[in-house]
Amino acid sequence: MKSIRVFLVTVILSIITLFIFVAALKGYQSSMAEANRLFDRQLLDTATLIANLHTENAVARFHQDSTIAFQVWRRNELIAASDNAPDTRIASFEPGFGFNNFAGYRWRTVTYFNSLSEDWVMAAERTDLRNALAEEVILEAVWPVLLGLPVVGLLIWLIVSRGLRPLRQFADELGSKQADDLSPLTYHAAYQELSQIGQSSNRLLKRLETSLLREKQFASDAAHELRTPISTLKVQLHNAQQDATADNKNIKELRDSTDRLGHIVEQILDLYRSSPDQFNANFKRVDLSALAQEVVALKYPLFETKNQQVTFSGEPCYLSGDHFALTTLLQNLLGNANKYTPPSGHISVSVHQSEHCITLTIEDNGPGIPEDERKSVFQRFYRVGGDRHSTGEHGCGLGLAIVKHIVELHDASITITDSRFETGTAFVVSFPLIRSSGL
Amino acid sequence: MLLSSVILVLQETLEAALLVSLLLAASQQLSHKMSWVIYAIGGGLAFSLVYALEIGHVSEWFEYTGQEIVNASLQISVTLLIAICTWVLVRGWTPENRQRAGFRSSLFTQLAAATVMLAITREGSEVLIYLIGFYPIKDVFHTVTVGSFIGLGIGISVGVLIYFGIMGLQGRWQKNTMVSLLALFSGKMVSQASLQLNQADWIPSTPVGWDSSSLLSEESLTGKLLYALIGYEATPALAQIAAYAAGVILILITAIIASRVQAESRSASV
Repeated sequence: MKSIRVFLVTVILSIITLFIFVAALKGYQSSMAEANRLFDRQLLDTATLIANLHTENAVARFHQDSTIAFQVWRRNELIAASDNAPDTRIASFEPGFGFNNFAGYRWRTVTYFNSLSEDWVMAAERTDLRNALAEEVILEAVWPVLLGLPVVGLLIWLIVSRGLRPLRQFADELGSKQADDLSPLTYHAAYQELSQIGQSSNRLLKRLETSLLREKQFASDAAHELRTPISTLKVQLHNAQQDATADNKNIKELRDSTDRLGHIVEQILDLYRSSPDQFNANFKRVDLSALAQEVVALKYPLFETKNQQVTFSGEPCYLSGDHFALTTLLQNLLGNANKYTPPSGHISVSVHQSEHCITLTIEDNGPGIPEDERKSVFQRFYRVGGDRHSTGEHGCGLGLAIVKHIVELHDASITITDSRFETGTAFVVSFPLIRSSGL
Repeated sequence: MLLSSVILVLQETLEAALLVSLLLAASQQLSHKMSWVIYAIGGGLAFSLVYALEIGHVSEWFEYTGQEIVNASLQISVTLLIAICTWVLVRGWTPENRQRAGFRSSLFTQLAAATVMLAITREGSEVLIYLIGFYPIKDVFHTVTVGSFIGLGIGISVGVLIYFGIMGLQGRWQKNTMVSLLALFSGKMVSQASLQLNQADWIPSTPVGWDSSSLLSEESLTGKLLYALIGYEATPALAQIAAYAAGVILILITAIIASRVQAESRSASV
């Protein structure tokens, strides 16, 4: 993921480095040129001085200084020279500056003509030494600029981090919102740059809240409104079957369809009742083990119809939960196990407590759920294999969505794994333990 | 001395920074991964140190032309890897294209890491050989270090700006800019390799193709920067010109073929 902070820091630092370093180079070049002009002037002064000294004095004076070489020529004859000067002339008989190579070095030379004595004075200075001296002086000025760069980098990092803090806090405000909290955001108000995004987000939240409310209201109202005619329809169908002279196949199918319709309506109602933003939870201390046994007993006729073997294992495990919601959860999971386990199949229910959590496991030896579909089964109206489920069982695809809601309500987690039977699925729900300060 | 060291280090750093920026921008498009570049640069620097320390032995190979031959081999290897990177880049520009071509998501980063590592091995070794050469001369080494630091700073800064410049481009513009710059970079690599092989007498000397020093001298700052970025030379030999053209054409043809194969594959699947 791209980072605004990394982008700003690297680009700003790169631009600053580029300009500072190029400026340092330009400064170095200008300073070197100025230093060379100074050295040249000094060399010319030296040549003038030699011209005005008696040649013996000049030889004695510059004898020890190996960085300066000189020659004094009169009528094409060398009349005086420093020890380090060669026998041949070190510069041309033209007043001015030049370069020459002798004694293993490159030299800057100057020729000075003394019109009084008609002497040609040629002085030379080693370029490597004068460059080294100039560089030493200039580098002293360049060093602080280079050493200051990490400090500049750190300052940029801190300033950019400070500058991005409102954005981070705005993101935190958004991130810390609960699923059901659609109240307007407030943090952006103080910052001009965040104002637009804050206002747009608030408008979006408002629209979202309105449409969610409309959706909930519609589903709830529709389910409520459908309940009564379905119940009436069931009674009418029962009466019609009583009155029918023979066993009417059409009436039986009509009753089955009505039962399914009734089930879907109940499930829709359960789904909206159990959604975290709707549910008015009444958390109490609940023995999950006892509740599981109760629901198994309640559902027993269904298991018996298919001649399924249900086993239970567990010990009393107390958690903080809503009795009604947990009952719905168990009913849905056991209902699914009953539906998808073949006749004479096995279903196992267990409730155990470990150091960290209470685990409810419901396993069966049904056809199982393919691994790539295990996450999707908790979506509303999702059915494994679509409407062509291999078991041929009918369903509306809401049961596990309701289970997921209830799991979220209890801060629990649910996973689907392979069951310990040869085939089948295991639903494992892990509930947090009651905290000592709790119930 | 300071200017010489700035220019030497800047040339090598710019060359590496351009390659790293291009491949990093491409890997952002292809796999959104960046960590490979740290390993590639680290590996390249480690290899360059070994190469610089062993340069004496390496030089003795192939009848004392070992350094030229190894450098040329590294440059040609980098060019071939760039060609493969270009193929993967053009063929797998979008996730759908990559899926259709059967490319793993890590394929490009592995190729890019190998390319950067080889390039840095050669360029880093040149800088290290230069620094090691001056190390015993304490007075000069101080100046050389400052110069190298300035050259490194400018090179990396330009590299970062090139990277963000490329990242700022969109879609086809971004891809075409990457491919064009990779082609110029490859041209430079092959041209340098031909020069090295000529120095080793593996290929004959050829006449100078042109002399543009009056227009832009190689010794000017602009000339040196252009040399580092696209391999500008004021008086190139004909063999160098041919090698440069071969490097550029190799990448452009690879990109064109990859693009056509991609188009055919897309129309076949439709």
